[in-house]
Amino acid sequence: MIDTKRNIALRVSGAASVAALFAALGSTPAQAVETKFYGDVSVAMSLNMKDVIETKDDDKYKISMLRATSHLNMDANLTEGLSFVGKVRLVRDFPNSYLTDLERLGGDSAGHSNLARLYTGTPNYLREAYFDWKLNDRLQFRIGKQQVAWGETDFFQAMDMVHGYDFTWRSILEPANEELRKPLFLINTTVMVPELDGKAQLLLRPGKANRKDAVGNTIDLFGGRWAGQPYKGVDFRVPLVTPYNYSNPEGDAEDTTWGVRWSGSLMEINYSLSYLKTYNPFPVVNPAANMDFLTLIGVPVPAGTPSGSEQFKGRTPIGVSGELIYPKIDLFGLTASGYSSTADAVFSGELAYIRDYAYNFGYISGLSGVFGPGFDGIRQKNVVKSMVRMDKNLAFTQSVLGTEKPAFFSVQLFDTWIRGFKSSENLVQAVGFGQASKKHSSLLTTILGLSYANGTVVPELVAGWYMTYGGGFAVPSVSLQFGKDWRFKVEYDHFWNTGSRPATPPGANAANTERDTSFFGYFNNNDQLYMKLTYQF
Amino acid sequence: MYASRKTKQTLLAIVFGLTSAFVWAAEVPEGTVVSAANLDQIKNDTFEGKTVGSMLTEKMEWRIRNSGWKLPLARSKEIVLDPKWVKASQANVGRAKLNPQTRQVEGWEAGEPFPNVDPKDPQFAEKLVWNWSLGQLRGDVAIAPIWTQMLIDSKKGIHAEPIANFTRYSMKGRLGGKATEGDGKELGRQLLYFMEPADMKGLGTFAIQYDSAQVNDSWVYIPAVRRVRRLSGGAWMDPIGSSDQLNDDLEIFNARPSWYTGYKYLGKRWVLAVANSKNPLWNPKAKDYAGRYIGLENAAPYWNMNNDRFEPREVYVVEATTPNEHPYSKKVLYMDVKYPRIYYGEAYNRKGEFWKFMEFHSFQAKADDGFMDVRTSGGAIIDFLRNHATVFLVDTPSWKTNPANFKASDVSLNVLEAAGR
Repeated sequence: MIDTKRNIALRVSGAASVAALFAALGSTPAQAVETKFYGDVSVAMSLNMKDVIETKDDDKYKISMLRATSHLNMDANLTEGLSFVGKVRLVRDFPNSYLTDLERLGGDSAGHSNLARLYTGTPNYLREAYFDWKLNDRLQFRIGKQQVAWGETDFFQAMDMVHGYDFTWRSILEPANEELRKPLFLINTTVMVPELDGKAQLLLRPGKANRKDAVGNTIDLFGGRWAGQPYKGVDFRVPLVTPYNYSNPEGDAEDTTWGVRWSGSLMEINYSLSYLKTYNPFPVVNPAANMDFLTLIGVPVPAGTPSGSEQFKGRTPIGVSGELIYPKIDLFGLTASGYSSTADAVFSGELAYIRDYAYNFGYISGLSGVFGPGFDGIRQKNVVKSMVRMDKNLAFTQSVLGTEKPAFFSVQLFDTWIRGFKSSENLVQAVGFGQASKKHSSLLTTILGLSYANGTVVPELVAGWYMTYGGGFAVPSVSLQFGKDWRFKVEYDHFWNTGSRPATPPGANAANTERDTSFFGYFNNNDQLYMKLTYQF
Repeated sequence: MYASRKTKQTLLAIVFGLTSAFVWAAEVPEGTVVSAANLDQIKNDTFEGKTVGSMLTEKMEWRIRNSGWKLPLARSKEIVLDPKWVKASQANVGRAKLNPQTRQVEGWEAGEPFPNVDPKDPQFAEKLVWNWSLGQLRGDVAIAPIWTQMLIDSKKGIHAEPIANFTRYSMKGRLGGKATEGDGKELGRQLLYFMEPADMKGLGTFAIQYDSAQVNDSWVYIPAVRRVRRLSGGAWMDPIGSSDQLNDDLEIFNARPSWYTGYKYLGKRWVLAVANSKNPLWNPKAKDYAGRYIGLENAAPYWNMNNDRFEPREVYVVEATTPNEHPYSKKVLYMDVKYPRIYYGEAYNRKGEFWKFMEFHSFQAKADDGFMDVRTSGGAIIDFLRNHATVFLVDTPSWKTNPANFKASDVSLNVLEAAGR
């Protein structure tokens, strides 16, 4: 980290405008601007540990990712009460033979047929750039591109929906959520209310001040290394299939959205209450009402032949087969956390009532028969997502495993409850995959973190089990520190499932026959060995 | 004849012994460095009238002989007891009580709860620890904006040097105005957050200490997920991060005294300790070793703060017995008799083996409001079973005590979150 404390007279070309800004903010420009620069450079590599079924070659031990990343951060205190933070992330994803194979199959065919370029370009380079302005002890503003995390849990998105996540970064395996959140330009106002031991926060997201693709989660729908089996090499964004439509009136990314949260402490329990107007976290397909796409690929059908699919609120999709949209939702949240001396553990809970959560449904339309389950249309449901978690330090690991301190152990149980559920609707969990949603679905995850040699050797095991649909993951890892500046991590990412889509190409009737591919089936044959070397400054 | 010769020999021996003692008991000058090289020669010499050897505990002597510790001798200086603190302490006489059932102090407002504690008092040792816990000369708010918690390997040297900000705010026992802020439940607040290195920037904790047996409420901010998480109250006896010190070891003893199961008074003695430290012992702006690590010697085992002023201090020795879940079986504390300060601590593991040596250096300074406080310039927690140490060094010129307009809300969960940006 470079620490510079310099007397800067703010003699920049825009001095007048800066002075005007300070004047407007009611602050006096500081004689000394204290600025810190810090960051890191890293190289990360993933190897396929299984043969990916979509390709002809044996992909086992092939490099699936080789990526160089640099974080460059700046933190400047401009005046008493006014500061600026800037964070840039530079990424270079290097081409490799495995990505080339996926490109040959059709990966990124809606773009440049260059997945490495796509991965390099997917992240926004300017991650954050905001001013913090503390007007007085009660009122403060954070204005600019930023990240806001709501809710208690880091793994399961119940309330953490201010931002969409970019899961193309490393799917669900990236522990640092700040790498995944798609930053937004926000006007973030906080009002401190010490009398009630809490604070109110108001978020305003001006839609037109943000990239359209900043709403909702980005998942690998372009046929890359994290596309669900068997869609590696299949780009759903092509106009013939289902391009994104960020201007659908039911999910117009240019609309302004907002949220409000009260958080505080009562009887030594931390709690929060919130409301957020935002977008469905995962995209859903608004399917075409006809089968015209068949004609375009050389299968003659009369124009306007009904597909049997329902168009979402009567909106005609922009793609020939449909469109990917993020309908708007209302999220009402409640969190609480507290320490129990009886159990010597911290218990946390999160409850989110989501109005109009969007699912794709159905197996019977012509499009579902071709592309896979869920192309019958979109159903909106009110959903209750909940989480309970226990964090406990396990002292016995010091004697049993020789750790230098009690191990960190966390267990989390998540549940999704679909209100007004009708099994006959056949809501699918993700379009293209057959497992029908159930009224309740529960997922259990655990973390066990050990530490040796003053934190220079940190083994960790993260595991999860989808209790309702089967399947899960286990990620053992070891993080090492070498001196002050070097870090190295190696991990194995293992997935298992109770059903997965076979390797039939899209368009085959087999796509509509399976009914047991749920979340972890998407990761079939996607085991990875991951290594990352970081130098920080 | 034989008896006569024997008597002569005895007399000669006595004379020779007295002469030797006279020769060897010379007063050594200030600046003499006690080290393994000269310990045998000067052990029986005096400094300020006390023999050097008598001012070294068994573990101190062991460190000098086996672990490169060197003690430059300095004339002792009185610690000024601030009149506000003295007045508040005296007000507790006859009012403050240590309830033997609850093991909590009742009737205390500020200053030392037991200023006139008597060694004949069966609660003597426990009351000394309460004097430390409640009566430290640290001001109502103490801010160390820049300090480091270095991790040091005895062979490889410094392998981590995270830099942090630390603030303590007293909610009770205040000497600048009303003695208590809030409803009287909170004893104080602590805020700590790291500024370097990059992978720790923003990582921090906020803790509320209660004036009761209740364990602390504490939270951690994790920048990578941008979230605050509640921490276990039992963490008071866990290590701080990846360091060699427990939360309980902060300035050697940081627990609520009632969380320990008992205390035993082992006696009063003199030790060589640092009560008027050089400052700073660390200059974060300097790049070269000598300029940056002013107090440390750049030689194995790399954790010795050999460049400081060790002066004779009279101390009480107290043995503190830990609860069963604690990694230590006991801690031995060396506490100044004149004011609440612990210079040394020894920690023993559950097998009764000597495990860690704790050493804290301090100096006195005048706070922004004129209060005479005692500040830590550096400290070491040395794990002799693993030959590893955690050394604290403070950028003392930036230290602030009792700055104007500083409020309890400036030490809060919100500030922890804000620091985590």
